[in-house]
Amino acid sequence: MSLLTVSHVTRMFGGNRAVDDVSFEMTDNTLAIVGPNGAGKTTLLNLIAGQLHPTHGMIRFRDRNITRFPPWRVARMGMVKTYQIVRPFRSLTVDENLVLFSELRGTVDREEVLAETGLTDWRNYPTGALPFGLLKRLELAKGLATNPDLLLLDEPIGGLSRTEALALVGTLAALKARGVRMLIVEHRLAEILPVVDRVLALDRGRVIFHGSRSEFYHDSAVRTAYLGSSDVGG
Amino acid sequence: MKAPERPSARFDWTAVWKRFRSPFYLVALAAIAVFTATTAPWAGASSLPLSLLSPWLLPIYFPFWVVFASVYLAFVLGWGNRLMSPFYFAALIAIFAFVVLAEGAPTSYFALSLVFTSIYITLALAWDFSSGLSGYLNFGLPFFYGLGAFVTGYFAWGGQRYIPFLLAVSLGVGALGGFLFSFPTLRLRGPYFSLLSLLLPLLGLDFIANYWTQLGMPTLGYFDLPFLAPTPGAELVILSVANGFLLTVLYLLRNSHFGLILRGIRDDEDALSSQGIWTFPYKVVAFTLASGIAGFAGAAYALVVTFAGVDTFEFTFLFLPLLIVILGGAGEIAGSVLAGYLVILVYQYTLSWFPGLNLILFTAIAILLVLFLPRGVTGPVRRFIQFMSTPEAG
Repeated sequence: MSLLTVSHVTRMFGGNRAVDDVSFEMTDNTLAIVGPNGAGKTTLLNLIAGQLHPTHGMIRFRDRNITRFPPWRVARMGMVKTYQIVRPFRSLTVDENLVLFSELRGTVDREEVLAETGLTDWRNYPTGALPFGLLKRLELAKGLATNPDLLLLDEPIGGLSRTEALALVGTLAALKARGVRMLIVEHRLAEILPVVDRVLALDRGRVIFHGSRSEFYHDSAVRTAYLGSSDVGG
Repeated sequence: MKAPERPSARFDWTAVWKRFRSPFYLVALAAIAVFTATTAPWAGASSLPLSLLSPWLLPIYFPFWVVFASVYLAFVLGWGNRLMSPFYFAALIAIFAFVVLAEGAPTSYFALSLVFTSIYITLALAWDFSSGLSGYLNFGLPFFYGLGAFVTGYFAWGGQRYIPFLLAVSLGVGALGGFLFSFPTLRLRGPYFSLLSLLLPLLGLDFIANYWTQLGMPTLGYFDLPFLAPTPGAELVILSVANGFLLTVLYLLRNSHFGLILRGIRDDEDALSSQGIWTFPYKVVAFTLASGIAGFAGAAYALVVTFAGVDTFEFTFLFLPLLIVILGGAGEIAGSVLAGYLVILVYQYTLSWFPGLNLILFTAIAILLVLFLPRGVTGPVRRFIQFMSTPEAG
C-alpha cells in the first residue's frame, strides 16, 4: 500500500505555477526531492504538510484524502514537517521542546530521541542559547518526538559546515536503518543522496525525474536542469 | 521507534485517596474547615474568642487553609515540583506578610490600599496567564471586569446579597462572556485579535452610557451594594486568600503541559501547529479562565466600593495590570504578585502627591521598563538561576 500519494498537484501564486501537475507515490523508503533554486521543492513540501493547499490535485496519506487538512491534523496522522530555518520554542529548554509533542501519538521515550540526535547533554539547556548546529539537531528531534510515520525534512543540513552536515547525515542513516521513513528536500546532493533510496527532481515546478539514486546521476534532463547541458561532465 | 500504547488512565485515583486517608489529615482538615467557617471575615472574625492566642493575628490564619490545602493537594497529586520555584514561594510569603502587616490596623488607609492592590493583582494574574503566556494581547480585560461588577450589582439589587454567591456568579458570567468572545475571535492572529479585544471595553462603556437607563436600570450602575466584609482588613484576608489560591492554580497550570503549549504559542504558533498541536482550544480555555477571574475581580471591586459603576470598564483596569505584568515579567505569574504590591501601593500613595500627573508618570515608567527590562525584574533573576543550574554540556 502506498504511504503517500500525490496526484496531479498544482499550486498557483497569482499567475505563477510554483508546483505544476506533480504526481508521485511513496511507499516504504526514503525519498529526496531535489532541484535548483525556485524549482518548487519547499512549496511541494508545504502542500504535503498542509501548510499550503493545492489549487488543483489531491494528496492522500495512508489511504486518506488529506488535501484540505490543516497542518496539525496532517501531523496527528503521522506526517510531520521540520523547518529549513530552525524554529525552536526559544523560551523552553531542549527537553521541554520535546515534551510538547512526546505524547501526541503514543508515548515516545524522550531519552532515546535525545540520545539519537546527540542532545542528551543539552537537555536542560535553554533553547535560545544553543548554537545553530544543535538547533538543526533539535529540529530533527522535535520531529522524532511525535513518533512520525513519515518525517518531512526541509533542508536538514542546510547552513551546516561539511563536518556537521556529515554527522547529521550519519544520524539520518541510523534513523533510516531503524525504519524511520523520510521525505527530504535538500540542495546538497553529494552529502544527502547516500541516505536516500529514490529521488524526485523538480524544475520550474514540474517533475523532470523520478527514479532510483543510480538512475538520477545519469539522467539527461537532470543534467540539463543543473548544468545547462546534458553533455557537460561526461 | 514504535511507542508503547498510551496507558488508559493518567492518574491512579485510588492511590491518591490512600494518601489522603490518613485520620490525622482528615481530622486536621475538618478542624480547619470548622474554624474557617466560624472565623471567616464575613462571620465577624475579630470578635471571636479564638483570637486569645494572638489577639489580632490568629483569625487570619484560618482562611489561608484554602491556600495551604491547594498546595498540599498539588504535592499529593505529584505536581509538587511544578511549585518548586523561589518566585512562587516569595509571592506566597508576600501575600501572607501584607495581610499580617495590615491586620495591625484593619481600618487604616494602608489596609484599604492593600485591598485595591489585591484586586489589581487578581487582574494582573488573569492577564498574565492568558496574554503573558500565550503572547495574544487581550485588551478586553476591563470589559469582563465591568461585567463582573454589573452582574454583582444586578443580583444584589434583585435581593441576593450572599457574598460567596455574588462572587461565584460573577466569575461564571465572566467566564461565559470570555468564552463567547474568544471562540470566534481567537481564530484571528496577533494584532487582529488585539484590535477586536480593544473594542470590548469601549462597547461596554458606550452601552452603559447610552442604553442602560432605557432598559429600566438604575443610572449608570448599581449603588448601595453589600460590603465584601466588615472592615478593609477582613476584605484583605478574603482577597489575599483568593490570590494565594489563584497563584497556586495558575502556577501549576503554567508549569503543566497546558502551560508549555501556551508558551509554545507565544514562541511560534505555526511551528506548534505543524507538529500536531491544535492550538485553538488551548487559547480558548486560557482566555475563558482569565475572563472568569476578571469577572471575579470586578465583583470584588463592586463589593468593596459598594457601587457597580460605569468606571469599571475604564482602561485604568487594563493599564495598571499591564504595568504590573511588564514589571513582574510576562508569563512569570508569581512576578505579577510581587510587582503588584510595588506598583499599586506606589500608585495609591503618589495619587495625592501628583494629582493629574500620576498616569503620565506611570506611562513613562512603563516605557522605560519595556526599553530596559523587557522581561521584568524576574527575567534577570531567572536567567541567573538558569545559568547557575545549567550543566556543562559536552
